[in-house]
Amino acid sequence: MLRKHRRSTPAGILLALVLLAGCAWADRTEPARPDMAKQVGERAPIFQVATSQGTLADYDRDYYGKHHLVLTFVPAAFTPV
Amino acid sequence: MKANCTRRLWRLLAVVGALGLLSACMPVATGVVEPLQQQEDSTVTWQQEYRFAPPGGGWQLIDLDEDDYSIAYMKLCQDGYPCQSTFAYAEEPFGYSLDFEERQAEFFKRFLWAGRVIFEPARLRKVQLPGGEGLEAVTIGREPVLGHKVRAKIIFARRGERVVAFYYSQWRPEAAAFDLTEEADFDRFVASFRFLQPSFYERLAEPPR
Amino acid sequence: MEGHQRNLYLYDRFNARVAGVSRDQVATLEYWAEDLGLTFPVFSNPIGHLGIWFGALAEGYPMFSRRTVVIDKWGVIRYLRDGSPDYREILTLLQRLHAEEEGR
Repeated sequence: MLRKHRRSTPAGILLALVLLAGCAWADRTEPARPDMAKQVGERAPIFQVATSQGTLADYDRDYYGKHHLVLTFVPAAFTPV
Repeated sequence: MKANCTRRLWRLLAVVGALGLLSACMPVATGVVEPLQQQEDSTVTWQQEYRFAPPGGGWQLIDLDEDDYSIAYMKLCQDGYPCQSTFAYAEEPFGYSLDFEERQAEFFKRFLWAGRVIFEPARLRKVQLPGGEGLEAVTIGREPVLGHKVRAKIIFARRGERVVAFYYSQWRPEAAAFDLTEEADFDRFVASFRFLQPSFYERLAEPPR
Repeated sequence: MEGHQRNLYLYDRFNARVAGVSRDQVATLEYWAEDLGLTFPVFSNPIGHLGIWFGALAEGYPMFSRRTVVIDKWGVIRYLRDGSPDYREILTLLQRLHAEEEGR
């Protein structure tokens, strides 16, 4: 019983790796739906957007592994926040 | 007829519900420390953050928001709008620079912005406050379309490294004269003002608990 | 936004950066940032997928709702809150994240 369990471990690790890779892939490609809203504790998605400073903000290049990031969503420019 | 009756029933239920809520909150409310506390020496303390002498002579406390660390008093005069004065302590005055002169310039871009007031450049003067040096800015703003004017005296001060401010504004119709005697109430308020403890920002400089 | 600008020097101490996000075009955001004197970026996301991912886009409503998100430097969402930013709450969290960072 114990031996059988031991033998299945490498396969288990491989399966877990495949699943993890699948999840990471899904993060990048799945179209956004309202029920996709992330929760606290989840990993933030990768994103690139144009900015008011005429630059492209690239989450991975500019923030990931470098800085904590505070994002405040606002309805529109010229609205008080 | 039936709809009317239903509406009345709902209204009754709402009143009863509101009363129930109020009575349920009563014991809780009395257990909470009142934000504004009268002291024996005729000063008051606000949220244990600061202490000042409240103004007499018809000034009304406004905007008591417990999440707000600012406080304001207002006075209406007989002539009705625009005959109104306000003074306040603001923990987060408009603008963002830590330098007084830069801050006052940013401040007047935002101050009374919704009132469409255009301010003359402020006259600046260094002042000594109980907590150190401050900057006083005095100016007059005008709303040319409605024919209103406002006299503003803002005193920028420091709490820790942050800039805080004392505001005073007096609205009058363009043709009327400002009442300068009233400003003495504001000056007394500023002179009596003392911080009682380090601010949130000063505490933030310490290691997290 | 002005509150964030006021706190920039503190965010810097805690190794944090800040950005606004709206569905406006870049040109509109440039004018707005200039008017407010913002030195941090506002992200332009007309399609709105960031709003969907971070729960700031209600179905059937064209604009983002006010909402603040904090992502730590390891890419994990640590804070989500509706409404105008609660700056003291945000700063307290950033202080903690910075302490975590120092401890690693």
